Amino acid sequence: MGALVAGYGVSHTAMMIRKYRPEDPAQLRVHQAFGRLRDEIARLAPDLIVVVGSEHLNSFGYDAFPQICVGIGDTCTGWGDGGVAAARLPLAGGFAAQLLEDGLEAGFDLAFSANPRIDHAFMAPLTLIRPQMDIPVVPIFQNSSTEPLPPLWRSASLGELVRDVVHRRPSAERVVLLGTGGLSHWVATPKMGVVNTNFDRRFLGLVQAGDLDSLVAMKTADVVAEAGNGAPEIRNWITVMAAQRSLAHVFAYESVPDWATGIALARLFPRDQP
Amino acid sequence: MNIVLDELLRKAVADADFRAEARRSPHDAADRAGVSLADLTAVIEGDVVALHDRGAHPLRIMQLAGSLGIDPMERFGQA
Repeated sequence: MGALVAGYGVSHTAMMIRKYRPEDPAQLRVHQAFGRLRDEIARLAPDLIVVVGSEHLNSFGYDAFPQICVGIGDTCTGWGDGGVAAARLPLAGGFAAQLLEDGLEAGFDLAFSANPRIDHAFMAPLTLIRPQMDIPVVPIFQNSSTEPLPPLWRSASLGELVRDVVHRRPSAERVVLLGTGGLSHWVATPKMGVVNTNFDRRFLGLVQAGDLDSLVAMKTADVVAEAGNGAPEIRNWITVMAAQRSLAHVFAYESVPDWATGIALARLFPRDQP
Repeated sequence: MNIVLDELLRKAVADADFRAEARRSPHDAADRAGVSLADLTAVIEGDVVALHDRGAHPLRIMQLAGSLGIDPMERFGQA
């Protein structure tokens, strides 16, 4: 039986790497928070990290566009998009295969991509959290940007599936979950660069309180209207929260207009340092 | 969703030769892509504001901006 040792939510904009200016105190605090997360994950020494990120029309197109897709095989490779370095990572293929199989019984007809290419949704946070790129990952792509968007409860159900798979693993794997994306941001619209700190702080308040029910009750259309067309990426946090309900600890929140987003990092479970 | 324009953007991002050819013969390129000349012009000129107004996918706009070295936030701010 595997164990969920910790779950995290972090923003994933490539600009936090490409446009990082350490002389900006807010940007420095973000990188310092990533440093704390890097140390924590190094201490935890997980056997694998399930990374739940957004599809940005980099890995898939209109010829075939999955709502949820699991990377399988032996490796995944960064696209090198957005100024984030490309790298090849090991992929935890056994876990990924079981996720596909168990998903069918649980009502999830998950798409899969063999030895996938992954973009900054995965590579930007991993570059800051585990630059060695030596911990096997299972990438899960969720549609966060292309209509029609699935309801947020579906992302919570996915988290419950991941939890069940961990508990059914034949070996004592130590698994970390990482949800990436958000918070408020407008992508390629006249409001690009606006950050809705009210939305972000309300979201993080619900996260800290472990109030998954209130988050899942949100309509994606309302999220878009209030927090921008990039904000539905909070679904990746919701997936991790649903895997293990808990109070959460927010490492950092910064409004960074230069990066066109509200940036946050949080340990979604357990609340206290594992 | 503007599928035809998004597919044109995908091609323009991936294929610098296509962009160059479209600049030389924009009418032909627009006909072949099944888009208006105004759509094609917005793509080859990297007019992110016009592309937004024409219903292009924001992520395709970002990809075009990246391939042309355009800062979309700056362009939207200037509009």
